Parts: sequence; structure tokens; C-alpha cells
Amino acid sequence: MFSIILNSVRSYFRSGPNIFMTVFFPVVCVFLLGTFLERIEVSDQAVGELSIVYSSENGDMFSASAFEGFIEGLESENALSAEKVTADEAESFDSSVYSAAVVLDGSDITVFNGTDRIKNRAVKAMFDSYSNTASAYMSAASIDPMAIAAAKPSGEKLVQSKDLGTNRSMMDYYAVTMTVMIMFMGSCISGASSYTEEYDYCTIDRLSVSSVRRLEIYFGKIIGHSPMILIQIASVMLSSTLLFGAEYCRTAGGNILLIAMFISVSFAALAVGVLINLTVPKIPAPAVLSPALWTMMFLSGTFQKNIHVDGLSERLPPYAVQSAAFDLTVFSRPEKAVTVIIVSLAVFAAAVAAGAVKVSFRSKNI
Amino acid sequence: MKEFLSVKNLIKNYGDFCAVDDLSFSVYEGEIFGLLGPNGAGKSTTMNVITSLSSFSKGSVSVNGMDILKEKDKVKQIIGMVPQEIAVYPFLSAEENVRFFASLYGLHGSELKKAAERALEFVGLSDRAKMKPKKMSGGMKRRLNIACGIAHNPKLIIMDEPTVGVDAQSREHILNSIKTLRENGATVIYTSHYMNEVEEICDRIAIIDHGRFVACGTERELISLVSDVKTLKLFTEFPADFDKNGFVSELTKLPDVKSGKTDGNELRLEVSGTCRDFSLILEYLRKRGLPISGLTTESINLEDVFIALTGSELR
Repeated sequence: MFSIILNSVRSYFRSGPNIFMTVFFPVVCVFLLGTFLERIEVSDQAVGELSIVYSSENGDMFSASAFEGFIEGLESENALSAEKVTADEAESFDSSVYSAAVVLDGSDITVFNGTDRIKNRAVKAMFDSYSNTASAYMSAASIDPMAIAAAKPSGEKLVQSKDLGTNRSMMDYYAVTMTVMIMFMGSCISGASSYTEEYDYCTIDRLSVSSVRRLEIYFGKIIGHSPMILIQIASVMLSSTLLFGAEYCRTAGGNILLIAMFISVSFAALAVGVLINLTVPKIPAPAVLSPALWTMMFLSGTFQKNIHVDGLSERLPPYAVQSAAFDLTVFSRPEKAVTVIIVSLAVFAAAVAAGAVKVSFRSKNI
Repeated sequence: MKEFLSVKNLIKNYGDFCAVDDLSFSVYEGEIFGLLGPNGAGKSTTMNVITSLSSFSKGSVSVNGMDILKEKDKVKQIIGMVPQEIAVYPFLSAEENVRFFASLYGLHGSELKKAAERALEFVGLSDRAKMKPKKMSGGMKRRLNIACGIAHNPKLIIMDEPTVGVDAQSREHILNSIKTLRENGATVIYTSHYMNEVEEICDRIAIIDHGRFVACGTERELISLVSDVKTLKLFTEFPADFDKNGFVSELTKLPDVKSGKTDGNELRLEVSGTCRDFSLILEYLRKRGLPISGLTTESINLEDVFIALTGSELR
């Protein structure tokens, strides 16, 4: 079996197209997509600094007090900077200087939009939440004013602020998605080509008549692809990190889990690829599988993060893997990654077992 | 001679189609056994069964006394295959190819190295050991193909058209190599479309058609199945008043001469297929004062036998 393993490794490393497609191409994609799409994506990414003018002169006394208290709270959290003006000044605010203007009239709040769509949405969200909270408070106060009066702030923060990766770039995004791409493309197509190559070289009969058992050849082919899997993942991750400054997880543990997930998914894709090849022995894998894999990855947002089809994208394997990877790299949440690893290992085991059964019961060749 | 391969009542069905129909033959140890048949005759299926590439429906096949079903691993160990296609890896050098295929039979270390060197030397590619197949000529690739099939020193070698598309020099080298394999004790099953090759190297030949056994024997035995005569053509100068018919009638009384006729100054005699000595005939002509300006013989060859027995040409 060692000979088969060694031959699979040689087959991979001595093929120029293999090396290009699985090592250089993803690295080039990380660089090109990360560099050229960076600027396009900025407006969708960052809210930036919020600076507003507000007026409470026409508000009723209770509402004005609460309204001003809310804004002071936002300022103290550095969520925005605010300047108190008259109602007239607020309505004619300079949109080149301020993000928005907010005017309290009685207990009603009016938000005057600025020119930045993202900032408008952010300001509106803030004051929508305030308005809803204030309404709820007023309703409660009308029912049981004593209870509201007796209520004291707990001092406990309901929202815990955490570093959500404000320094993340599109390079980071594509470093992850290109690794996912190479896992599916490289592993699945290599697996699906493993027996086709033998047919192409006419060596399938030589292997079959030799003393080596069919199962040894089968497992030799799967194990023989292991170095390829490790090298293609390592090449994309290392090059995107060292050459282009991309960042994966911030902790060693997170990165180990991430790599474990990538490896397990790659092996699952490989085993499925080999199973496809055993089912359709002479399948021209790159021609048949590439369009399907490209489509699946396209719909999963691998090449452009805005592409998403509700009800479909989230069911696709690349999407699930990318989602788990982003959860791990950006939010340090390992749950999805662990799930992906477990599912991948189950798929790998099932595909390998099905392939072994198929190999054992074939009447001719392997 | 010891029976090395025994095929008995072999039947192979593909659904309703019977590819091999009750085929039986034996191959003796140390002989080159030719397997001939038109396309679709069942040659490849038979060879696939012997090499365990295909299962079979009924019958039995044994190699060196071992049943190929019961002792599959042991049988595989002593079989070498040289397929019609160039079955080598383009990304490996000649030496790496030979070593890889030999390693599939359990050879390793220095034993493997020596086996590969020996095989490459045997086919005359020692000086091209580091060369990759894509840089080789057609003849060199064919020889590498053979080296890959024999490196593990098999006792039974199955060769399927090993000389297709090679130049005369390489063909000669390959045929001599096959004869050397026989001299070294290997048993060879050989198929080819080139009848002259089969005539040249095969000790015995089996002809199969429609999955059935048609004939088997030495070349002479096969020829004798179809005809045991050959034509002797003599060119002379008959005198103007010469009694040609009477002369031919006299000649037919000589041993081995079966019939005859004349056509101008050409005398055509049908003689026994085993007759190699024409001195009596020539002496008879000289006694009658007939000068001999030329002599040719026309024999039935294997191709004629093949056509006569199968009703079709090989190609």
C-alpha cells in the first residue's frame, strides 16, 4: 500500500496544473479579491463616527429630560457625539458636518437624515429603540406609577461590549473563503480524478492484476492525498497571513480548531470525490464537477460576500463551513466549527465505507 | 511437458451475450503460446479471466496447479501482464515506473532496485532509466511497457499485441526478448495481429472465434488442417513439339507430386506440404533436356489457415 500512497503523492506534486490550481491559484485569488474588493466593501462594513445635532426645546418636560439623558448616555459610551441646538437649527443642519439631526416635539421624535445611508440607519436604529423603550415605560407608568417610581437602575450593563474585529479586512474574508474554495475544489476533484487518472494512463489493469488488493489500492489512494490536503491548506493560510497580512483566529487554540475543521472538511470532500469516481469510473472530474462546485461556492458568497439566496445559500456546504469559520475567526465562537468537524467526519466515514463496499464487490477492475 | 496453464470449459456471459463459450486449452511450461482470433472472438475476455481482471460464469482455470479462484493471491504473484496500451505513468521516469509496478508484487529495497535494473537492461533501456515516457520513441515506450510487466520475474507472462506501432528494429528487439524470456523458463501467452510474428515466435497457436475453440497446435499442425500441399513453380523452355501433358503425367508418378499443369514455359506442380527436397523433380527435368531458369514455392501460411478456419481476416 505504501507504493500506492507514494505514487499518489508523486502524481500530485509532479503535475503542473495540480500545483497551480491547488496552491498558486487560491493564493492569487486571496490577493486579487482581497485587494480589489476592499474599497467596494467599505461602506457596507463600517458605520464610522456619528455626530448629531438635537433639539428638545419643544418637548414636554418629562420626555425632554429622558431624551437628553439618553443622548448623554450614548455620548458617555462614545457611540456618538451630540450638540444641542434649537429646533430651527436642527431642521436646517449642515449634513456635510453632521450625520443627522434629531428633534423632540412633545413626546414625538423626528430624525432628519444625513447623506450617509449607513449612518442614517444607525441613528434611526438608536432612536427607534429609545422611542420603543420610552413608550413601554410610559405605558407601565400609567398602570402602576408607584412601582415605576420605586424602580432603581440595577447598574448592570445589559449589553456587553466586545471586540468584534473592527480591524478585519476583506483580505481576512477572502483568506477564509479561498481556503474553503480550495478545500472543496482541490480535494473533491482530486478524489474524483484518482481512478480516472489510472484509466487515462491505462495503468488500471496493471494495478488490478497485481498482488495488491483492491482495498489496499483504495485506501492507498485516499491516504496518498493527505499530504496534498495539508499542503494546500497550509499554503493558502500561510501565504495569506505572511504575504498579505490576513488574519484568521487571534488565539492559537482557535487556529488549531480552524485548521482541524479545514482538514476534516477536506477529507470529507476527498472521500466523496473518490466515491463519485468509483460510481462513474472514467468521469472527467474537472469538467463535470468544477461547474457544480463553482456554482455552489458562488451562491455561498465565497467570491462575493453580498451574494446570498435566502433558503438556498445557508443549506450549501461551503456556506456552512464559511459561516463556522467566520464565527470562529471573528467572534471566537467555536460551536459551529465543532459541529462542522463532527458532520465532516461522519460524511468522511460514510463515504469511505461506501467506497470500500463498492470496491470490494466490483466484478472487473477496481 | 508440464501443463502450466489449464483452461477447462470456460464460460463467460455478459447478460445474454456469451463472450467465451466452453473454451478449453492448455499451455505448457516454457512455451510461447499464441492466441489468435478476430476482433470480438473472446481473446481479451479469456486473458482477463486468467489475470483475474474478470470473473467467469462457469469452468475452471488453474495456473501452475493453483486454482485462480481458490489461490488468487498466489496466482497473481506469478503472472505478469504486458497490455496492448502503453500502461505507464507519464510523470515517472522509466526506472520509477518499473520500480513502482515491481513493488506491487512485494519487492522492496535492494531486491526491488536489482529487479528494476535487470528489467530495464533486458529491454535495452538501461541508459534511459531516468528518461520520462513522454520523451521516448514509440519503440522505447513499448519496451518500457514490457519491462514494467516482467520486472517481478513472473512465471506466466501475458502479452497483448506488444509490438503494435513500433519500427522494425524495436520489433526485432522485442521478439528476441520474448524468446529470451522463454529460454529463461517463462511461459508466455502472446496475441498479435502480425501473423509473421506469431509464426516466428510461437511454439503453439490456438485460434478462437465467437468465444469458441477452433483449432490448436503447432504452425505445421494448423496448416495441415487446411491443406497439406504447396505449389512448386518451375520456369523452363519447352521445345515446340514437346508433349507437355504426357510430361506432367509422368511427373505425378514421382513421390510427393500430387498434380501439375503447364502455362507457357511455366510448370506448376502441387507437392506434398512436407516435401522440402525437390532434387528428384529437378533431376527428371534435366534428364528430359529441359533447362531450369527459375524456381519458386508457394506455401499456405498461418493467415490462410486463419481465414479458412474463421472466415475472416485478423484486421
